[in-house]
Formats: sequence, structure tokens, C-alpha cells
Amino acid sequence: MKYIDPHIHLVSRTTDDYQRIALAGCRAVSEPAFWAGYDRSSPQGFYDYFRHLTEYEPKRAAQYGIKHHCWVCINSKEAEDAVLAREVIKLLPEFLDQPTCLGIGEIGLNKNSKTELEIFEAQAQLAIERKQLILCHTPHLEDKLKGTRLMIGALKNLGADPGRVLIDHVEEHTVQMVIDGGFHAAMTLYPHSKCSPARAADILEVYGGERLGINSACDWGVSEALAVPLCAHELRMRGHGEDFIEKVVWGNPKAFFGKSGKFRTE
Amino acid sequence: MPDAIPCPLTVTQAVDRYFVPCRYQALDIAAFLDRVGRCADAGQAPEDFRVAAMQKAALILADKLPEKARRIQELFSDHSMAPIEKAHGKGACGAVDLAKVGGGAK
Repeated sequence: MKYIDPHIHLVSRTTDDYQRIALAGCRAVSEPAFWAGYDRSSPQGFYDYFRHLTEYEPKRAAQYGIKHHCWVCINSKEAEDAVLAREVIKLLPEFLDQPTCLGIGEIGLNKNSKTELEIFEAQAQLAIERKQLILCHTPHLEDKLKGTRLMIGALKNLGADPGRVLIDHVEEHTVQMVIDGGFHAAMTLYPHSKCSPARAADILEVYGGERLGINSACDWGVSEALAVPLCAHELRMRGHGEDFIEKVVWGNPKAFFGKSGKFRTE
Repeated sequence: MPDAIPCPLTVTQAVDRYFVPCRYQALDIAAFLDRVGRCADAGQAPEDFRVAAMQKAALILADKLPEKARRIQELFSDHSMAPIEKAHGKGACGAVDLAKVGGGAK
């Protein structure tokens, strides 16, 4: 089975993981810019990270037959420093023009603060002006419901085309408002803190497979690089057909990323 | 849900497949609550809002209504609407402390 991992942080993973996902059928990935586990001390730190995402990681992935794509942004966990965040936003246009950069992401909220929202809106506005796709991170645990509501409200106020926005990390209590808003949605499968493959399969059964995908978002924390094929296996073991599974793990992400004009699977 | 896809499993097949792992998880929750109750300051420490939320979640497990996962997610969620003034720290704890946040969980 071929698949796309639409959200994966490969800068944090070993080459063993590249080999594992390639053997499992991964043909293409997209890697959003995210928090490194510590706060970077200057815009230059982000500049180097964006070079890593746009220059080095595609070459590393190519060694395993995987097409690598990325997104650039100032992530929500480092957005509370508005001065730094504004400086990082100035760096984005240079990288948005790179051939494997699909858009601005993963932007969003973490603790749902005023400054986080201000920086989220500034980046969404930039994406709209430059006709870029948007990949949104929604907060974790108790903050997810409120953060998702705030972000959907902000995107509507900015006039964003929901068909060009993917809202990630949806769960049982947020998926409906995202789909009903016309956005693309994705579920992140983690061993502990987010969605399990079985719960993701449940959500796919309840809400259908339209504009809804799955990803590993694997990074430097407790996470599983093979989360997408594990969920595909879960769906298969329940008796779902291959057409449905392929739509979820291949067709849906390809359709959304294809709107960038840059996404490649071969 | 207009686009819903039925789970192809029969009830027996679903229970056969998922009961034992879920039994394990139910016992983990029970043991967690027992553990908190055996702590050195149990009975003197104020009730932790996360423990209280877990006990409320157990009531949802026991009721006869559908959408248990969504309702437990909402129970654990912050229902306030306005952005907070400033983010102090980056982490989330999984439930809302009603003593600190006005509104908060249902």
C-alpha cells in the first residue's frame, strides 16, 4: 500500500525511520515547521531551520525514494515573543518561493493567548495575500476546543478560503466544526497524548472520509513514525475496503497538497 | 452524520477485538485512583481538579447515551471564549481548574 504522511517532523528522526516508512509504502511527506523543544534565541535560528527544511531534508528523503515537502512559519509555542515572531515572519517570503514549500504552517495556538492569536492572524493574512496554503496546529488537551473555535473565527474574519486550509490534530470534539466550516481536517496519531489508530478509525466511520486525513506528526517526543500504516491496518482489520483506505492515506492529502501546485509523489 | 460509514464489524467481533485492551485501560484508571487515595497526604490535600474530572468522566462511561468520547473530550475542555492575556509556560495538563479559570469545563 502506498501512502502519504501529511505531517511528519523528519528533522527529528533517524535515517532508520526513513527506511521503515519507505518500506511501509510511504512515497511522499510534508513537514511543517514546529517547535524544536526549546525556544530559539534569534531569527537566525529559524533561518537555518528553514534552510534545513527546504534544502537538506528533501535530499535526505530522496535517498529513500520519498518526496519531501515542507511548510514554514513561526510556531505557536514561540509566538508569545511578538518581537521575535514578527522578525521570523519577515523571513517567510524567501522560503515560500522554494519549490518544495507548500505554504505557511503549522501556525496556530498553544495556550490561546492574545499574542499567539495576533501572530496566527498575521501569518494567515500573509498566506492569503501570497495565495499560499495554510496548515493549522490546534492546541493540545484542554485547550484544543477553545483554540479551534478561536482559529476558525479568525480565519473566517480574514476571509480565508477554507478549501485552502487544513486544520490538524482534530479529535472527537473538534472534527465536526472543522468539516462543517469547509476546511480540510487531519487527525494525529500518537501512542499516548493524541488519537489512537482505533479512535481515528472511529472518527472516520462517524464523519466519513471527505476532507479528512491521518498523520503521524512524529517528532522528538513519544510518537510513532508508522502511525499512518498502523491506522490503515486497523481500518483493513475492521473490514473497510481498499478504496476507502487509499482515499484516506493517499487521495485526500494529495488533493489538498495538490492545490499548492508544488506537490509531487513521483 | 450524513457521510457516516458503518463499522463493518458485528458487535461480537468488535467486543472480541477491543474488550481485553479496554479492560486493561479501565484497570489502569482504577489503579490510578486507588494510588492517589493511598498517597501520604490523601485525605488532607485538597481534591485535585484532574482527579475530579476523571471521576466525572467515569459517569459518562456508565450512562446509556452515545458519543461518549466526544462528551468526555468536552468535559476535559476549557469552554471559555476569550483569549487569555499571556501564555505562562507551554504545557497543557488535560483538564480545567475551575478555581483558576472562570467558566471552564462543563
